[in-house]
Amino acid sequence: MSTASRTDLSSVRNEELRRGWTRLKRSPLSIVGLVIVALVVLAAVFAPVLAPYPQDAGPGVHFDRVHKPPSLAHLFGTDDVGRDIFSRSLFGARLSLGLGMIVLAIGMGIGIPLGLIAGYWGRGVATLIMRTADIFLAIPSLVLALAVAAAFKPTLTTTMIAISFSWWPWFTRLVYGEALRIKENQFVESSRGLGASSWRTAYHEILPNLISPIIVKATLDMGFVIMMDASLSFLGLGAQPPTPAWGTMIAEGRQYLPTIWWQATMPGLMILVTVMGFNLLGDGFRDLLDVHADIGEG
Amino acid sequence: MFRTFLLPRVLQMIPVLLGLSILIFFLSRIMPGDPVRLALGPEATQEQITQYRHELGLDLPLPQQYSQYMKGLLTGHLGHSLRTNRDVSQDLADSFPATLELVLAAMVIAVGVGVPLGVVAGIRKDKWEDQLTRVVALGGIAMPRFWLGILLQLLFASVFHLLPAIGRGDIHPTQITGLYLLDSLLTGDTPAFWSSLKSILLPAITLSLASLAQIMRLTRSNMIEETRRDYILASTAYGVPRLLIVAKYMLKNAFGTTLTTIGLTFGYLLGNAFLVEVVFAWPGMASYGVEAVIGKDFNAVVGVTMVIGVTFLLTNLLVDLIYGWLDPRIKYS
Repeated sequence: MSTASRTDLSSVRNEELRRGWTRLKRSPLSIVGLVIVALVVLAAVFAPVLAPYPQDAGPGVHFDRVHKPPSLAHLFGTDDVGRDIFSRSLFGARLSLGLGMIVLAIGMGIGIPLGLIAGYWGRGVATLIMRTADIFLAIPSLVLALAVAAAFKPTLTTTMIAISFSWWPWFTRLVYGEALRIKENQFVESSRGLGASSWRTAYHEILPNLISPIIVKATLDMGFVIMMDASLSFLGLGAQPPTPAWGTMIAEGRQYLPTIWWQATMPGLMILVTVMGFNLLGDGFRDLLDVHADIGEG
Repeated sequence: MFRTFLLPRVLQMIPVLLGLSILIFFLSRIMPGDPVRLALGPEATQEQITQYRHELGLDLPLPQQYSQYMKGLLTGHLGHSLRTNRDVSQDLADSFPATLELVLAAMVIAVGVGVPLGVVAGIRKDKWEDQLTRVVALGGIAMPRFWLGILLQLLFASVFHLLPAIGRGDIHPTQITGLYLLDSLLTGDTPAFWSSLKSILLPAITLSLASLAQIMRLTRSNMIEETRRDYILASTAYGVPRLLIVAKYMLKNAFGTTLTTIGLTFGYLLGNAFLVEVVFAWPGMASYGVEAVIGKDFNAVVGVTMVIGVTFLLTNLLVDLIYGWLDPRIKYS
């Protein structure tokens, strides 16, 4: 490819991005999503600095401030051993975001190559891969994750394995469908005609066209993975106390309901806001990148 | 239709279910911390443990255990539960109706409220009704199910004392189907009906909210799409009243697309029932499943997962059939 045509291509891409940005700016909800996600990421990265009581992330005990209701000193109140719930919630953001990123990396690492192989090579391989994916999709993700979690000791790693296990088929299905569609395009045929190998064609011609739907799906899924992590830890199959995982904190606080209402409800606010942020941002990306693919329920 | 559509679809389900059973069976057999030791307690001697493992067939090679399990399955046995000391099939028969009732009630709320709200949002696009449903949908989808359940319990049970926080009601009807609302209606048992209705309300609303939001948004976009069709313009030009156009033509077409998602919704509700049943101490299959997972009751885990897999696949089949019946243009090929 000559230098001139490459410049043309990049200026076209810049123009597209600029238009997309204008579209994104016009939708206030996407901006809200962007701000929320930015704040949650900041909270996760700087939790030790931002948390008013950073030592409360661990197993500490403060008998002088047990079960204090929300106040200026303790925004979310304190828990049954006097730890500041707001500080713990900030550390929870670290766990949730970290787990979400790892799960998506594993899910995409397995799902995308398999979908690409099935969609591009087709035939027997496609049948084998897609029927296997069907098995994993035959039960709701949460139930599959539960069954996997049952096979291991309840830890953060278990939740990670369990969710990844039920997540890859969604990426396989997305990439498979898109690859089938893109394969029919003339530029793919030209590449083949010019003597490019199958791998080269799949990697250089098909994969770049898949990046937009994958970004949109990954952003939306980040919220759903965080939700599923919270669900599994709420059921006692994830990180164990005193780890400040949001789901675990809610489960711990449940036994003090209804009098001590804040211990079980406050960490839930973090889940709600975070998941909503990723959903809004994902929808924004969908408009920005002009994606029409069926992203799936996640 | 049977030969060209139904039969191939049913045959397709067999390898999926077989694959699922192998996957779940082997997963359940690699559980650490020997489930038998856990079940017999710390007092058990090594001999007793070996003896019990032998009785359960756990000392056999895995493939042999699997084939024995499948043989049992054909005669309706799902293996021995370590916790209840009964056959898992009996446990499931007892707890499945409660889950089914909860999921169906949530489905009725999701469709019954979601579709009308979606229609309103669609025909009042960008007006305040539309904005309001958008906010509800955002919250409904992003709210963790178990957390919403806790909030509703706090509000309706602890603060206002309107509805019971947990359980399936104090007065139970004579068992016919195991669905308390249906049974109490069939037997004309009014007190049991009210008691069942009051106790199912909170868990069903909790379970339904996310699906309600999705159905509402989908109906909205379908209605907006229908508004742009030529036949609407033509009918309006002929002077057909707006209400008639919406109620008779648009709704029917918009609902068709919504229906296709009901199969998925059903699976989603079944999955989330695991959270809602735990919060509301609902004595269903899902809370049985969670206890089984925590108690390393391996046969029960396999049983619950398989029943959910079968239910999910059958619902999708049923939805495809209804869809074809509603829209005769769809060819079964």
